[in-house]
Amino acid sequence: MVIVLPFMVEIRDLTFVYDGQVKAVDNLSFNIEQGEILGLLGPNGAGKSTTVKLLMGVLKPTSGSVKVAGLEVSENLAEIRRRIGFMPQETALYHELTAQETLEYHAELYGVPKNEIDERISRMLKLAGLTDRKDDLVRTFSGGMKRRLALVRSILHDSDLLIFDEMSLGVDVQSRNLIWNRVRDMKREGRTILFCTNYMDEAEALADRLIIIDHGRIITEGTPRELKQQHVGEYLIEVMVDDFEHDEFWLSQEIGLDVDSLVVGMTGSTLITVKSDDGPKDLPRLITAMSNAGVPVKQVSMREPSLDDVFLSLTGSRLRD
Amino acid sequence: MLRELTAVIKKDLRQAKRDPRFVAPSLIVPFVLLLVYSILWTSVGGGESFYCGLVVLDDTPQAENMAAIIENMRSTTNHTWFSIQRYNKSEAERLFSEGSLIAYILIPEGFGDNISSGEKANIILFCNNINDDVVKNYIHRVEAAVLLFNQGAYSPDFNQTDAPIAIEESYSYSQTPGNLEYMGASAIMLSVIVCAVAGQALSTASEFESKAIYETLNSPSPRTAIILGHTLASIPRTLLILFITLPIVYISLDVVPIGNPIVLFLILLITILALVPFGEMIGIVTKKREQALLGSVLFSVVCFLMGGGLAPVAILPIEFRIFSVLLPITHSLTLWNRVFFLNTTTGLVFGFTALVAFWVLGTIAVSYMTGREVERC
Repeated sequence: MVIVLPFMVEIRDLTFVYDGQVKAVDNLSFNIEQGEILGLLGPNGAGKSTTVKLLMGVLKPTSGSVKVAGLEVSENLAEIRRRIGFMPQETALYHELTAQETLEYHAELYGVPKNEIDERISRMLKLAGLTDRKDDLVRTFSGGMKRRLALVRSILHDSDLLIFDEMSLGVDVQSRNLIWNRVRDMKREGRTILFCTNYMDEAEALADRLIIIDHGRIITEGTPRELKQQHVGEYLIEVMVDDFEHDEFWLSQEIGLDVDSLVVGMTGSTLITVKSDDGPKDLPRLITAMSNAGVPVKQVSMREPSLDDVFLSLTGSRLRD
Repeated sequence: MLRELTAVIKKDLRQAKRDPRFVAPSLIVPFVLLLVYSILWTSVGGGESFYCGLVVLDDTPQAENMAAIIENMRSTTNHTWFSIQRYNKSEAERLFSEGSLIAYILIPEGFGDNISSGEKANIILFCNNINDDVVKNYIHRVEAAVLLFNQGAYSPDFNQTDAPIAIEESYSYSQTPGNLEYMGASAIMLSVIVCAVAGQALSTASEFESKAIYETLNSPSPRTAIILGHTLASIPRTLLILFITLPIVYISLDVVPIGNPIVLFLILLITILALVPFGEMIGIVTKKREQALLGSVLFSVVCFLMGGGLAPVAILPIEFRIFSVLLPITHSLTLWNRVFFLNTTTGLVFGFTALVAFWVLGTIAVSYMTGREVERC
């Protein structure tokens, strides 16, 4: 007998129009499997936050369906919210409460059984490295401490689905590493995680799968490796030249490789980025081809592509531009 | 729902204890107004801007002389003077019933004949019994006119021994407060009003500033429980201010409530319930603590002045009175001052009903506004 488990999140043909005018989410469809970490990438205004709000039932879809654990969100709001742990971009903590009181308040709102509250809170405080500061007011905490507290608050009620919006925004390296490790721990515990980020290294470090959206639509999706291979290639060769007067098309013809971008710098030099599936072989060939074409190479380097390159390749701009 | 309600109340009270900035305007505003009001009443005079009607139904020379005395009297003080305006009887009755006239003096038919025949002649003062000081001022005016008439002020050869008219100093009006007593009682209510509105506005704005409001609103707790929790938390937070304002008003003005303390407490309670949603709306709109504080103080003071805080609504122009009925503070002040100075429980239903309606409508509006804010965040 084959048991088919429902996806933790199922989004089908989801559309949301703000005030009857602005289409923030346009016919979006994707699933998240149980225990999967999915990264949602996109520039500001791409529709990430709206998708999260639709998932949490804050907004009602204009059309389409959003299901969490097989339940339609709009019809089972209280139940769905109990199953979701959400960490917003702004930590959303009460500054005049202590860390302990913050977690107590959350436990009461989310209906954590009374006999489990103390044990869970002390476990969460330990997890966040805040046991010694549990009686201090949140307003005395650093940005990193606030993020850690917000993170453990989101799992205090034992949520199956965690949604993190810019989980490490504005935190120090130490806190960032701690947060990332906790996220990996949560995955190991079998929780499903959806996160929105503008940090490509974060997406690459944590996500099993990525979805890049822009203008409310999915541009592409896949594992980080798949995306890089699919949209950039195995290598990127960056060549610096002086007085370059041609265009990408001309250069591609001359060197027989796909030119990804041409950027003229402040000093007048041009940085040419070339995609390659076999960098070690293509690099000397490229230098020779360019010299033969009358474009002497000033400086050259080769690297593996990042997700930022994928984003640049797909949208024509860097994510943080 | 009880669990969430308790959690919200506990959280709100902890926040209020640790950030008690809302207390400052709740103390400063009433006492500054009280000071300004005291200066106004004692140095400028309170009555000269009020009109008093004069209706003369007798066409004898005696009646005209009496009317002339009333119209032409000049005071050496600021305290008992009114603008006198002649009306016909029906117009005066209409204006009086509408409240446009606080009082009018009627010189009835037969006034002159009675004087000529040596019988007792009457003049009648119709006065809206709204404020003890105001009523007394009108009476003093009539007394002065009668005295002048008796002294033959209208005639060079007056004979004071055979006074043709007199005033009997027995008035059928219930005791009403003096201006400063009225203001003292109103100051207590104002401190509660400012505390309720500013306290909630600050609390809500601070939740928006830290974005913590979204943590609460995105939880599975019903929105009704959250809003109700805010409102209930505001009751002890607001009533605490009475421990300061009541003794100050008692010591400085010797004003103590006459009415039933339980009814007075209920009036304060329903006032807080009706006003907290307004504080919450101010917090939602401003979203910044400083702006919320300013907005709530402005709202409270303007509504207080419009709602009968400076002078009873009954003596305000009719246009103001129509507008002031739409303000919750008007009903709070009317109920408060009625029960504060009279040991009565009658005539309170309309005010209580209005305040409950403001509470319900305010809560619905807050629920809608918070929903919109979460969607927009």
